[in-house]
Amino acid sequence: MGTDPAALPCTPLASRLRADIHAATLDCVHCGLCLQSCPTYRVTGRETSSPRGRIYLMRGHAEGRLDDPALLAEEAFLCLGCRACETACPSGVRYGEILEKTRAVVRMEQPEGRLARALERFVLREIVPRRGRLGLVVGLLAIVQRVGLDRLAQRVLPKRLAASAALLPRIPVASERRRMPAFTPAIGPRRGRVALFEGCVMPEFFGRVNDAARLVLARAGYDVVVPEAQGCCGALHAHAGDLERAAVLARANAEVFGAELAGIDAVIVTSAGCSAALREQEHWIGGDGAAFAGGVRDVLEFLDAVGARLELSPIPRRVCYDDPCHLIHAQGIAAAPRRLLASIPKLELVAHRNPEACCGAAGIYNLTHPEMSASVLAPKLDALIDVDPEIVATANPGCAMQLAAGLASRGSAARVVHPIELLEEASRSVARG
Amino acid sequence: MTSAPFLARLRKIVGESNCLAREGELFAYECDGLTLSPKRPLAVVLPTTTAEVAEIVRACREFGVHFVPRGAGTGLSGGAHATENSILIECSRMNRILEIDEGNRVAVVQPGVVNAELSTAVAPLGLFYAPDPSSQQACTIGGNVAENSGGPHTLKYGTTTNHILALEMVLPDGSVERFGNRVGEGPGFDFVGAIVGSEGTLGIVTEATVRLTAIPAGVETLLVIFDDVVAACRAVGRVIRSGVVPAALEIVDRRTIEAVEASVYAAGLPVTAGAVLIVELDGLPVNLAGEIEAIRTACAAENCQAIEIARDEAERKRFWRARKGAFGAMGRLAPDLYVHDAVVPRIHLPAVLEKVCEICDRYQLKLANVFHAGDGNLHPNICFDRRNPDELVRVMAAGREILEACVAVGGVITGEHGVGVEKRDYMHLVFGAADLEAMIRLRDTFNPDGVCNPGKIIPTTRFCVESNPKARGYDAVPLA
Amino acid sequence: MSQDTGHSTGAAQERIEVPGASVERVHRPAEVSELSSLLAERYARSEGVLVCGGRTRLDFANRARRLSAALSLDALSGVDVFEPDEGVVHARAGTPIRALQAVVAAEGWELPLDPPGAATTVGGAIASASMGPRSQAFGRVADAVLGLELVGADGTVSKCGGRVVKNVTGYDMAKLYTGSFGSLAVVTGAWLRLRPQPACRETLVGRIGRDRESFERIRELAWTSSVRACVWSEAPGAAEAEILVELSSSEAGLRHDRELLARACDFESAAPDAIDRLRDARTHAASGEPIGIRARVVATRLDELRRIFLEAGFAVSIDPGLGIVTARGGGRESAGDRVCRADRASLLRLREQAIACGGHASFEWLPAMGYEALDVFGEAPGTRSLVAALKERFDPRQILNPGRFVAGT
Repeated sequence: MGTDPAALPCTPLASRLRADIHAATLDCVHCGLCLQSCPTYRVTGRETSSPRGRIYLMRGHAEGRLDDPALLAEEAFLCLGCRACETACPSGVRYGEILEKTRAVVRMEQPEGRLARALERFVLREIVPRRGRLGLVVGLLAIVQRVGLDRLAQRVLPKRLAASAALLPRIPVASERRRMPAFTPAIGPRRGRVALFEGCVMPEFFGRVNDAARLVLARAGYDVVVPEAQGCCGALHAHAGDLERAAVLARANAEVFGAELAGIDAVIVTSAGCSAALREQEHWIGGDGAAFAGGVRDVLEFLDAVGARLELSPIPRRVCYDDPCHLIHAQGIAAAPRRLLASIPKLELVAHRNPEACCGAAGIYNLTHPEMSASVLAPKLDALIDVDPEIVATANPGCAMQLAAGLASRGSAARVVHPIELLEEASRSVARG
Repeated sequence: MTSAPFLARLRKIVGESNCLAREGELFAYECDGLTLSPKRPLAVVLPTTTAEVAEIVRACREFGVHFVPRGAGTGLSGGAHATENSILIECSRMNRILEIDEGNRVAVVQPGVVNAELSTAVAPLGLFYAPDPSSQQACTIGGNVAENSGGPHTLKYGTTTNHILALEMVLPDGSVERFGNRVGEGPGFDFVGAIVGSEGTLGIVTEATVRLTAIPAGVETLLVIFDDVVAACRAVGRVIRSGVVPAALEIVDRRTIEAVEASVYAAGLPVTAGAVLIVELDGLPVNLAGEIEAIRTACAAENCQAIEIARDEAERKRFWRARKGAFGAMGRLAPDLYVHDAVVPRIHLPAVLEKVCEICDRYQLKLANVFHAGDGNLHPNICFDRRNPDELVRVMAAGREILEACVAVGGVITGEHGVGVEKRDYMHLVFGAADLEAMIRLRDTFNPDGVCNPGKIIPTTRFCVESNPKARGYDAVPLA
Repeated sequence: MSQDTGHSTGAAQERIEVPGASVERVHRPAEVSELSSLLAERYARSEGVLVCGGRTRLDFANRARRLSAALSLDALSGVDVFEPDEGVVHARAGTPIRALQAVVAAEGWELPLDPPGAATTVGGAIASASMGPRSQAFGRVADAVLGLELVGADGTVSKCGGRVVKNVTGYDMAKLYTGSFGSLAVVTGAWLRLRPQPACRETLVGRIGRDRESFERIRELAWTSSVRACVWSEAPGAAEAEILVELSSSEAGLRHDRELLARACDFESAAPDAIDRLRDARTHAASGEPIGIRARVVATRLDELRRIFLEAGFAVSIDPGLGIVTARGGGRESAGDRVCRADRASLLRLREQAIACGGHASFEWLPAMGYEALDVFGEAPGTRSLVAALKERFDPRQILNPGRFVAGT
């Protein structure tokens, strides 16, 4: 007894997605090795909140043996999408892909009605990908913060929204939110040329990170071009189940960067969420973006791989590196960031427990599921505070916001940065020659 | 339909969020590691204390409902499958390590503690928890106790029953009893020994006192390549005879190697190899060189192609990937896998392996072999697609012949996975009426009215499956 | 392997004394079928029997009730199957342990059973779960048992386990039968797991002060990997304690561990059978003392228990690696006027102290009046009804060794 598949929306996209999902779930042997790697399972102990359970629900749904679409939808979005389960899975189940497609199908099957979802859709479709609009909204928020209205608002807002509001970092001054130069020449002997992918959230909240990347790449001997017409990578949209919009955004970027590909060594990305999405674009646009996807590199991965010879001055600090899920699980990058950090003189790289575990940020998850997000974050904060770092380094903006807010709430004075910022600091004085 | 008052009572005991009764939730709990013959429970409860477990059991008695204990649900014999009119009591939230007694090398744990996490927790003290089933990243101590779980290192370190000193258990009448003590020996009957391996049919374990083992001073891991699996088995026989007791002796055959090398767990093994033997030796470093020589001699006598010795931890992990990734890697070969778990005397391994291959050929089934060769514990993995009813029939028929062949040479039908529902109707191959009668006496002493996990282990028919077609174990399999 | 089977359907006139009773007739069945008939007869008449083997530990029991005869299994003897390539052997219950050890040693194996007593049989060792000093390397008796054949109280023949080293086919019944002192069923045969004989062996003896520090040092060293047996012997008022250690390993391993041991004490070579003699001296017959107590506690409380027994006037033979104190006394007054007391209160006090140290204590033998109102085994708290229920299901008519095992049986 299950939902009659014939009664569901039957667009070609929906059918294809359902078939893809079902085929991929057949790889799962139900062994359960994913359970302990799953943040929501570790918090709840519930099978349905584990990868194995979710896959089983998806398979049952697809085969018509299950009639509980509401639960499937809930679980599809309760999942953080951290993909730690992919790292643990011996069968190579492509969970990240299955999840995205399931969310898309759920969105199609369950028509919008609720205000929150409509608002989310509006924000994601109409604000985030449009630089001008996003810049305007952020500018307003900056004023709110400068004036102190944000603190007032937190006391007044309902608890859930207040918690979300607390996550907003100090919005950088306008100068940091300025656009970067379109072209930065290599400093010293020229080794090559790269394009920089800016993202949407990064320039607004972490403009200094992109700028740091630009400077370090230049110092490493690379020309850096920043294509003007680039846009949001679409990850947030895909994670919300809007594959159509994600595909539109992906095509647009493929075109913009495609024009540059011939002359560059790589497309450099500073946000792990973006680089993971860009590399897996074929899920959204097939082979159209293959060349672009093939050229994408995380900034730390790239600098490590080319053996960037930077002259670094000491940073005598205790530093913890926390792995963003989309860097370690989705792309398998964990050693490169650590090697780069270890190359900075006097920097003490300290290991904390389970650095590969999710921090609970997961894009906008900390806004949509604040309680679970906090439950997932708690053991990570314990682990970090136990080793008392001065600096926590992580290579993803969402994680940085989550960790910064969390550490502050625990009274820690640790500074949260992207590793590239430390490399920039360390290479700065030398470069001023 | 589960009665509302019963659910209300359960919710009162464990809290709203720890009592699961939604359709999708019950669906997700309809099976454990064995996906055949699933059965949905009436509800699933996730207690966090012994007192809650006892109250749940009493509530079940009051409302006339059966209960089935469950750990992480990784078992392969359906031991945690719900039965008619039952709820699942899942212990995974009871996951605290209560005490680590370093001086006496003992730990006290709740049943939901994950096996690998216990070893990780005591590693800084130079100790580990020895029984290491392949599912150790997920399976729980409680589940290990129920199944008397093994793993690759049982050859030297024994199975779970060799490491359990005391237990606290909620009995089917709702009372809480303690058995054993910290020295693992006490007056009266060895109830601890009887409860280990009782597959959750005598009660629900709510606390275990376990023995910890000193991490050996030195480890050496070898990878030996053979032309064929029979030669590898004969080499194992020579190793047994040589007097060396390796910590582990594992064999994987060609088809498994191919699957592993094509998967994310690729270990760099030559796909032309007929079989690979992984040998692990541990102990005093001064002894290891001599043991390596003994292994070399044994393997050379069977014309091994090559022997590699792991140079460091990374290489050691690479060798073990060939074995530990096997089950998952084979998941890519076919939609479904049927894994057997028979044990034969090691001297009969070569002959039995040939027979197993012959049986699968005859039934036109794809077979991959992975096994704890040192214990004679075979794991023939048969590939199939359960949506094809004819294939399923052939898989079951082949399985029966395989078990019969193993029993015929003095073997048994399960070495690690347990009987559960899956092999219940094959018990007649090994035991007669009087033997089963004795087991029933034990079970009925603890569980006289059969409310705790009924229908597991002991067959309900008095006859051999063959003479009673209705008793075939797989007629509950959904053929869709 | 006993040769004389004779006409075992008849009973020999022979008197065997056990706590609380004696029997005049002893049957010695040579085949399982005979044993089965004998028991069926007794069952029909609800008559209790004493089941025995080598008779080395018959006094380790509570007071027996209504014994009509004895069934001695010493004629049910022999090695039926020995697989030298497999390391597994099948022996009948009446086979003497020593004889079996010789059979397997000839092929380079050793039997991981080390019970005291020259005449101890396989069945007796299993029924009483009797451990010796080498249990440190061998493990428990139950660990050596792969499978058993049995005859029930009503004569029904059954089996459990198997002949393979890894087996979870159904309940682990062998764990119930092992150490049940013949109260559930009679063991007639056993499949046993063997160990390879060690390459090299060495026995060392040393003397050391009786202070806590020395004891703790030896206790920790007892867990050294090549130590197979370690016994600390001490009497109240003695100047020193004597330590016997048996090592087994490769040449290099022995050298390494000998050096470790030398840091704690000056050891010299001892005779290779020194541990055997010490072990066999622990039996009642060899001891000659009126009180024999065996206590087992956790390692960290062992020194405490040692001193408790010495204070109470007992000589102790301790296996530090196992946490076992074997205490013997009561036959003489010690220096300092400490006399072992066999009264109920003193004995129970010793047991309480052992329990407080995480373990238990059993009274292996006592002077005759000591068996009144005392359970020589002790009782695992909270289990009496389960014990009684199990016994009721297996032996409702109380045929097998009635009254001899723990309360409830």
